[in-house]
Amino acid sequence: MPISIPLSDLKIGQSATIEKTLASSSARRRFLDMGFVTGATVKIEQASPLGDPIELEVKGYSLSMCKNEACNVIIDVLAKKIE
Amino acid sequence: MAVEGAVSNRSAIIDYGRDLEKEIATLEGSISKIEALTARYPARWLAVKLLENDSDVKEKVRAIDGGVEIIRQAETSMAHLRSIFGDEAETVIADRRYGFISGVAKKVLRKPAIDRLTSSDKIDNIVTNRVLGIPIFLISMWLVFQFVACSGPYSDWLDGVLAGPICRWGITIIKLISLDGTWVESLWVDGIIAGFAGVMVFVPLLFFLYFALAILEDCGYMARIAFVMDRLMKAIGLHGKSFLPMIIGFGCTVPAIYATRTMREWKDRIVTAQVASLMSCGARLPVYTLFAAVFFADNPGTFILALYLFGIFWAIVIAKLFRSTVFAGGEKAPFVMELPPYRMPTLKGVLIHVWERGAFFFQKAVTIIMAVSIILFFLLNIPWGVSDMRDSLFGKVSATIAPVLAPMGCGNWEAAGSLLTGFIAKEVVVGTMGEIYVAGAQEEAEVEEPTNFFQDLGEILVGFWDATVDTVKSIVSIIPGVNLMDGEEEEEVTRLVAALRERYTPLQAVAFSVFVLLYIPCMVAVAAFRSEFGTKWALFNAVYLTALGWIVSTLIYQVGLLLGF
Repeated sequence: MPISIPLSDLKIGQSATIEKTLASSSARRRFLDMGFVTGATVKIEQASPLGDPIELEVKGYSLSMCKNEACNVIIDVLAKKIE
Repeated sequence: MAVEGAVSNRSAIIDYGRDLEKEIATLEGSISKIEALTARYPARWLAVKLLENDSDVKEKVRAIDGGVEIIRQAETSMAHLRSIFGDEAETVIADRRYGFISGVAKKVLRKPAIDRLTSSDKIDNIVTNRVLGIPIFLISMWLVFQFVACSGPYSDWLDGVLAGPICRWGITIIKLISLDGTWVESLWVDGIIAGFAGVMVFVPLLFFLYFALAILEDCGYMARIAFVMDRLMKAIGLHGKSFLPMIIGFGCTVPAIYATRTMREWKDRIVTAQVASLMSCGARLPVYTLFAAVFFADNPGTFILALYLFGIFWAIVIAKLFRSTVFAGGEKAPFVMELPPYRMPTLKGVLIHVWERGAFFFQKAVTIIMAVSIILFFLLNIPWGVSDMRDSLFGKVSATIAPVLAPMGCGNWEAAGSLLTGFIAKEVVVGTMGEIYVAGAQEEAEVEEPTNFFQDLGEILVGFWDATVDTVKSIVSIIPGVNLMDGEEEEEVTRLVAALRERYTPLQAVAFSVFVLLYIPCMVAVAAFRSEFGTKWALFNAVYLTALGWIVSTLIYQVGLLLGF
């Protein structure tokens, strides 16, 4: 049974499936443009030396995102499965 | 990755699925009836954009007769789609698009066995490492600085070429039309050439900087700098990418303003540019050094360092202030930035970047600088034939301004005049003081030997070669432990030091130095600001900095007086 959590709660090295993004229209646009679509796999690669932002891998490329923005992305994790 | 087969050329129409297509078709039908819309936009594209809730497109449609109706219809469709999908139409559209993309990609792409990301990841593990990340960043910044500083020989060479051969060629032409000895000749020598030389000195520095930045950008490290520094810069209301321009500001404000171009959000960009000149630039250093030598001879380094730190302090305060007032809010698009895989930069790509940015500087800045130099030339020489600076229009203007500077302890025309010329370039403040306080200090009549065109050309080429050799030497000297450069020091200020000690108190010197730190940046920087952000914001920059300088210096002077300094 998958549980829904914000992307910011995912730990480094873990990956999950994107469920939806909760953001205003323009922010949502940008998320979609960057490949944050339902069903895409996202993985946390590492955090910046000061802890924020975090580096993610989605759609086969890397990108950087602040934690307070990552909490707008809701992801599904399988309770047991942690890659 | 290799592309195996080309997709056929017909414009690929993405199938958005039955429900969406139905809404698109209805909307498309209504749009086709309005000629003002179809004349400008393809109807289907417009329909999709409206269903995506694209704010730019909506605004454009609303402006057109009958557009409001269309938007209303689109909103009804969106509500209907929301009830079907349980999600916004734009999400579904994006899904469909990505589906289409991956379908095409599957057909035509063959991925190499080893993913490029893995080698990139290895570099990332070191470069953005928790412990090593920041030190590596600082070292790379230091290297950029050192590299830019190596442009010195080219600056000297350009200065020499302008003041030598090119100046002489101009004089020859002026002689040909028998205007020699008139104001035309001195306008050429003291106005145009002097002003032009002042700008050209920056050109090699800019090109070196652009070269270094283009390499950092093209190899992918620039994005990592923002990644590493973002948290720190957010704390003072700026952006991860603000860090680089601020650091560059210590060298020169002009490239710092141009370096803000790496930022995406206009508000982040302009706030960074607004505070860039508070990072004390290299040209202010001669002024600090002079006053440090005069009044703080025991501890000149501390005085200079204190001024630098004071500048940083104000940069932080002003950035926070502006971010919450003048440039508050702004489009809150999420800071989602691609971290591209590391690539070897190509020389061609780097040179294109350098050229694009460098040419821009020429076009926009040079015209303004020429105009200002010419105006200043006339101010200094009117009424015609004045020998004493004080009697020129410039001297009179300075004397008029002087009372305004009285509260900060610099209410004499000499100080006012020096500060005025500081607008040309900060280091000119020292030159002007020399000219005013030490009579005849500038009388260095050069003996002109007659040369012909080919000798001049030879001189230019030899000079360029020497400059290249010196530059290569100094680049090699960046490597710790290697030093190919021989230090050279100029000792010409002793008379000025004595003169200043007589006329200023240490407190006045502090107030004056602080004012030089904070007030209007030089005209090149203002021109750069104007070319990047427009006249309005360039004026805003000049005015707020001057006001800040005046207020802070006045406070320092008045409080200092109360404390009995």
